[in-house]
Amino acid sequence: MTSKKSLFLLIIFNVTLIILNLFFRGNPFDVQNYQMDFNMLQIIFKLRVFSVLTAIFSAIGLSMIGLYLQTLFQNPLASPFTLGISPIASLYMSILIFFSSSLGYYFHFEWSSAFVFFLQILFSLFGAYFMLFLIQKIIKRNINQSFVILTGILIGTFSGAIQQFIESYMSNTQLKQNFMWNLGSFDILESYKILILCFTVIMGYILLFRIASKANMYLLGTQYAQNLGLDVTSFTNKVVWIASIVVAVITAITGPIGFLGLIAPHIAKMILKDNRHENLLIFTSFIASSIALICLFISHIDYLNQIISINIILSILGVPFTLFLLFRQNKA
Amino acid sequence: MIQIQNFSYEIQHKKLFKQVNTTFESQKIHTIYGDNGIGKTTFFQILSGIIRAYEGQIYIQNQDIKSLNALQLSDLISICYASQPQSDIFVHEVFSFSQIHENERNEIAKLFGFMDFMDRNIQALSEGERQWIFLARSIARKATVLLLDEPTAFLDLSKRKKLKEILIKASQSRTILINTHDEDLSKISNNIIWNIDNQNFNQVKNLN
Repeated sequence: MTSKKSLFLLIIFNVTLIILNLFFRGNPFDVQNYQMDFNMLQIIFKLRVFSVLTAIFSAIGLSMIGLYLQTLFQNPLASPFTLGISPIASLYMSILIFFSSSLGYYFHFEWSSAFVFFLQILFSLFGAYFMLFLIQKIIKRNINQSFVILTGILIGTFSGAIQQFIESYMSNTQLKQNFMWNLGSFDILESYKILILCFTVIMGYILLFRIASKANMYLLGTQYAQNLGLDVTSFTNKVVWIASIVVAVITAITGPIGFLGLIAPHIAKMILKDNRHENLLIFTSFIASSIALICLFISHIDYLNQIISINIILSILGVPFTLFLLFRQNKA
Repeated sequence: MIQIQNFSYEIQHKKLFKQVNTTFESQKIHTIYGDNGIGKTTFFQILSGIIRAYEGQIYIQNQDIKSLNALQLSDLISICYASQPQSDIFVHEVFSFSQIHENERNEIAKLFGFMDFMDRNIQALSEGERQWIFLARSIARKATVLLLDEPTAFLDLSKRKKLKEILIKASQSRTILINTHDEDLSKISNNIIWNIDNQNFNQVKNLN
């Protein structure tokens, strides 16, 4: 009963945020916007719809992956960011930015943006899958929970160092491009990117929903799950593949977005007091999308004089929350 | 009934079982004793299909367990491990995630006496309480073979007594194997005592 009520409230909250983002973004009291001609308004509105869609779907994608990774690694701190999947994807992105424009410069050709985007996804996919594969191997040898997160942080630091090494050889334009991408942004201009994003996230969502009852068994621990007839290896492989693809696509489009995948499932678990993945998936996605929409709205407030990156806002919100979570866990 | 033929298993060059031929009769409680590290838990992992790289044949209800997949095996075997998971879930979810129906869950909760525990988080329970919940779960699953690994380890005296009564009743319809160091369990009625020694199962003369 209460879960239905909070779901209803969440839906209303989301709709409100969407309306706010579509019609009242920027300076809400600025009437100048409405004096522009119709074509201009149409373009602005289209861009706003794009950014809202990107925010919603990348938030849903990251948080649903976060939820399943937390179950899979039996670790409340697991997320695409803390496991080093996003950092390694951003390393690949830097490599791509460096070499694509350098090669283009030396061989006098320009790659189409769609081709670069395709390469981005491919590169991120390699990065994400490599990382998950590595973590899986480690888990087989050592079941210690903190070990997994430690590995993720180590890999994140390692890829960060290599990224900085590459950056020191970049030209100014490359550096700016790389920097902007790393800040993360929901303001996507190309419609095909949004189509690919929506398609991937919806497919991933359906697939994860279908293995929800298996994920429930997994909460009883690997051994008990096995005794209930769950094929642990195939379940792990499924989750790892879905996670790699979804994270790769989102990272290629929005840049590395931290913390959403970590905090949204936890808030969902706190509100819901129910650990069935079928319900958690729905709640997590609504919570994640409302967080993303809030960040999107804040990032466009006119008084700040420029568009603040999503990652800055998310980290300012996400880091205190993670700390709170750590202390709370310690107490229990 | 569990039939074991020419069964051998070694882990990291340490031979745990060598050419074992034995039978665990059904409708009996088999208490298995043996020193630490002798392979009691490993034997349970082999029976429940977690370890499959062994030599020889093991038949449960005349079915070779190597030929069964995890789902088919799960219908035959219910297990309670020595250590319980500490995930962030509620007691009633331990049963619903194990696909135990609500009626059966309430029935077993009344029998074990933890109806008022249903909405508590298993992280907040004591080790003994958690063990009690998972023992109830393994008995609530209607499998023909019940494997209990150190079931009395964390239990208080009244719970141990109650568990014995429940097990005697449960043994009427299934084969129960218990790994234990608890000498009290050897006095349970309807049981056969085994000792793992010299990489083999040796039947000890029943004390009753």
